Amino acid sequence: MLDFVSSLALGLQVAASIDNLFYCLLGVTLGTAIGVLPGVGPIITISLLLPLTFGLPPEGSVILLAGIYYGAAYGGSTTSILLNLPGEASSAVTCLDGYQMARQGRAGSALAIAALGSFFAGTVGTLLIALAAPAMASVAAKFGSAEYAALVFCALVATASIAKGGFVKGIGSAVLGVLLGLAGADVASGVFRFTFGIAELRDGIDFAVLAVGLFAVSEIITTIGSTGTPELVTSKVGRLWPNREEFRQAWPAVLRGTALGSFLGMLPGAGLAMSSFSAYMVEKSISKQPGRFGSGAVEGVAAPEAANNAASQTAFIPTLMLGVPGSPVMALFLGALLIQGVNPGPSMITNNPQLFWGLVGSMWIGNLMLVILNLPLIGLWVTLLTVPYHWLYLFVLAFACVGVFSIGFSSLQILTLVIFGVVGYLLKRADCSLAMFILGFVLGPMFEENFRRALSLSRGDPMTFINRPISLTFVVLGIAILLAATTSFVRKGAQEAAD
Amino acid sequence: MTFHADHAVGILFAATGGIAVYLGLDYGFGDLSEMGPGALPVLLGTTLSVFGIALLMKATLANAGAAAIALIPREEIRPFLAILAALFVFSLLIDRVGLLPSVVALIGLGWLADKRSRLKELPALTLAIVAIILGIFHFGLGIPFHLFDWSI
Repeated sequence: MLDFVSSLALGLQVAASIDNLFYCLLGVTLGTAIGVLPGVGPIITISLLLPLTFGLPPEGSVILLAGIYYGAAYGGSTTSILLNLPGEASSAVTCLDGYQMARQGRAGSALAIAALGSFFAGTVGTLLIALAAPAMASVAAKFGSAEYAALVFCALVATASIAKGGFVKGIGSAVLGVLLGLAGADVASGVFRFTFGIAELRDGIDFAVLAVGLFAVSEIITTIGSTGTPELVTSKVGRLWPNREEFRQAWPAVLRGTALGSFLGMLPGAGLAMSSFSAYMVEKSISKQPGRFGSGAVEGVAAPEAANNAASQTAFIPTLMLGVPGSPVMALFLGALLIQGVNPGPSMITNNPQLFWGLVGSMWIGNLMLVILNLPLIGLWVTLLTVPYHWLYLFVLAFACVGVFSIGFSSLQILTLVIFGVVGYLLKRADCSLAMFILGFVLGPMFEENFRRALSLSRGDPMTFINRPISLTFVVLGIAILLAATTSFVRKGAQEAAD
Repeated sequence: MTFHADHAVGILFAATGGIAVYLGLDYGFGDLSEMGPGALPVLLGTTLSVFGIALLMKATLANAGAAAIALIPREEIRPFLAILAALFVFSLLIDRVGLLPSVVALIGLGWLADKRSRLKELPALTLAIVAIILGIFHFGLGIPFHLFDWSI
């Protein structure tokens, strides 16, 4: 216990240094801004900033990127409530009741409930990281190569089973990503793979260039094609404090949302949108008057907002302690850690206590900053919406290009960016999950290394994945999901063919 | 039979898998206890091809009556071409004329992507974006770009 307190104290001390406070503030401000702006999300923003984090100290870059991520989960609710426009997918269900509350003149209460609920959930989430991560690290410390290989297999299959576009395209995209991740010199033998004689490819594909091309370039193209500029609707915020009745309805919902979100956040593939959506469904089904939902029920705002914020914090646990990210944003975050030369995993707490506890400390400080940023400054964020997308995308484009060029001062990087822009756009259009692609890319080298090492330790006996209980669990789970998903694919195909 | 987006994905998976297997065999599979650099490409390539063929079969058999889905919808052809052209021209210019002219060219071409944009906004917008980019990268981060480079 004393250990825990002194660790938290260390974390707060690291996070409260002037530099890190600045990165934290910058992160949560950027996060709130992109949470408000439709068409620019945390994935694009973190991709764009990856090239810039090369120059920052590890603590600074991690604190900055994390701030963007949970800041966006926070800020996405503002426009949902005031304008019925979800800034992020995770806030889409907040529109249902939040916007109705705003129309009834209770916008201030809705915003306050969302912000305070998020703050509570964020605090719990941060505490959970501080408590659960060391425990998980001591389990993960027992993992050998076989366990890691089995875990990556299981995580990819599980994520693919709920991927956009279906299982087969999802797992296929992941395998494409893994193969791309293998490009470059093989660590064990030094053989150059998939380089096609191009010298620049020998170090592998640059992660930042891939992320910007895949996400930012393709997103710009589809957003220009599909949406108009949102019209600004003015809405009165009203009194910024919920009344006693609203408070009484909100707090149990916040508790349930926090619990559900904390749990779902740790699972691979579940993500923020799923946690807020399930929290809403739970509230609606246990409510004595389900009819109130959709016409301004306080629980319909409180629970999903708490859930997506709790999930955004606990998602860090598997990413940091196992090195296995559950979502594309976490994959980008993991990539940023690797760029900094930090190896996530069970040894991270002992090897980099400053970094780990500093991040935990900054999350709590960041959550506090977010309450202040979101409540009194609400008017500022609403004016941001007046920036039309046809101005915004040109800035994103210029920022992406200059950022990528600054990595290696090589025009070849820009050509690579063009190629991945095309690949990302076409995959997206064909309904293949880009999230699976980037997860495969990040996890691929880790999978290969552990898979080969496990088999070499067992002298080529594949039973090594089955003789060990933890590895066996992952393998059985993975194969069960694989079988279920392929059976449903075949059955659906047969049914449609018969029709 | 109409060509469906799933056909394209099936062909992509099957072909990429095939190439990975072919190259992987060349890199050397090794054996189970001492896997060579080609082992994973061969195993994963095979898996990917199987998924690709399954998709192709399903798209051919099951979606025979479904309407074809255009890979690039009509309203996205213009942004697709303009954005990629802008990036491509940037890559050609950046080593020859320096950062500032390249960014201006990038914005100019990228501006063509959205048919809603108005020409009279362009000069002020370009100036603003160039100022922000300079502020962040040149003055803020101090990255040593060649701002103008007419030497070549």
